[in-house]
Amino acid sequence: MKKEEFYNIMGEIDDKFIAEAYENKNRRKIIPFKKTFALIAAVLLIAATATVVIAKVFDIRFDDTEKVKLYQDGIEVEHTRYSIMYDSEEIKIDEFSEEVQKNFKELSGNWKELLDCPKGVDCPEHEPLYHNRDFLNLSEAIDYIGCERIKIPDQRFRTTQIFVLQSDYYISLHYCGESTEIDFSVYVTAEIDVKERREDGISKFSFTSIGEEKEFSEEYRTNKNGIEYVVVYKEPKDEYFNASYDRNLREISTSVAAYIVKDGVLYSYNDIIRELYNEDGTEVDEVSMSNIRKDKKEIVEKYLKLWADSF
Amino acid sequence: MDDKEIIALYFKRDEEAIPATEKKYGAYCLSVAKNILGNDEDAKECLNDTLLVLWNEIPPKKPKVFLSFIGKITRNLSLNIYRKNTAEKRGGTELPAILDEMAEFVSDREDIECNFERKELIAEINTFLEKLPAEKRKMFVLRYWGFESAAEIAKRFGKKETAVHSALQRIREKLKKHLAERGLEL
Repeated sequence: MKKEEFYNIMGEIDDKFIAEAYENKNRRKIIPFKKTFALIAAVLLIAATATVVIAKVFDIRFDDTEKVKLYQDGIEVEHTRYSIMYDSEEIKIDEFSEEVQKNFKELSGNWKELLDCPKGVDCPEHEPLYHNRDFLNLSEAIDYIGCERIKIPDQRFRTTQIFVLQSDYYISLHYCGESTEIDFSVYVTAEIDVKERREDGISKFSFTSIGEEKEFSEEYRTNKNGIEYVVVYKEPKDEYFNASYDRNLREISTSVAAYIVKDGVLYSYNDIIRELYNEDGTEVDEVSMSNIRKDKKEIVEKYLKLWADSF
Repeated sequence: MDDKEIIALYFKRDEEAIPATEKKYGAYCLSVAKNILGNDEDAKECLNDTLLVLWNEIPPKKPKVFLSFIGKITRNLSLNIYRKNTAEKRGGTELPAILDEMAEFVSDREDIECNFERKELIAEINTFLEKLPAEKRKMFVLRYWGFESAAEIAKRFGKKETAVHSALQRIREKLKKHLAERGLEL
């Protein structure tokens, strides 16, 4: 065969191999500059020297789902832990407890109604569902899209999980949507060019989002077994630990995001939900949301440590 | 919009099929075309041609794997343009490098003797690919089907460029051995 003929032969390989090779790649898009800001604004994580933001979709293996016990405001609750393949890296995500999801589901109503509503987010009846659907069951959402779609979200999406992969990628998992079409997508890496670790164990980075510069820190800690883990928080730290909400639960600022790597697997921790519960485990009612305890730091730290020490 | 919905638009002769395809697969087609053609202008032209071919071919054709179906059309159209451009002394893509890689791998004899041997070769390459680990298989397909640069493949898999070259070299040798054991050669 002449060497030029080889690519003709390769042109006839089985479709499934092409689909396999390009399936994820096709979902990887360079996000337009303008939308990059909107996206990052929601993710709340960036770097001063971030250059390109690339959206990726993960392969989620539900067959590897397991139940794990974690603490939530002093109560042992069951979380669902998903295995996610991010390119060739394995990541495990702890989803909110089913108990919490159940409560949120009640708040959210029947989210599938929204899917069928031709007015989508412009529909006054369903608009609240749109805003609350990030509280919905992760597996349902991802199962629904089958990881098939990827869309650049508008600005009204919510971040549900934040975690970090390796040292130079920030990744967020969120559900997002556009008009009448719901797309729950697993998103976002912001490439970090330089992120130096300071002597005090904290590295800082920042970026400007819609005119506002946001600063973040990563704090390196060690659990009781000597395994290093990282806590990510928005500066100023005290503000970070006191997440705030509006009365409709629509504005949720990130509480604690942390990650730990054990045996080559990255586990992430997200403490958004804790903020919606009182210390005794009872749900914080809507009216008192704006008056949520201002002194959550100690509690947050306590359960973050419990989580980290479980590795 | 999922693939079935897009294909249904073609069958209904609904012109929305074109923008829907472009929205979902435009970037992918441009990427395939640009790897071969090396410039945006030709790649864009190739994307437009791809959409036209799709419009003309569906129906009656009903692709099982839409992504691959589109990719193959784009690839073939791009190669045609590449051949034309090469004749006009244009180019500047990964193709020459890939052909150099293949030079020590293929027999350099005249075209394969018959259609039967060609089909057998393709079938054996498919068998070989099936057995490869997924990551290696993807690398091979991206390089020799998609004409991607080693640098881009390395970036995608989080590896060094040299590691990609080494992996591809090993895969080529394995493929050669696989075919030789079956009395075939490229």
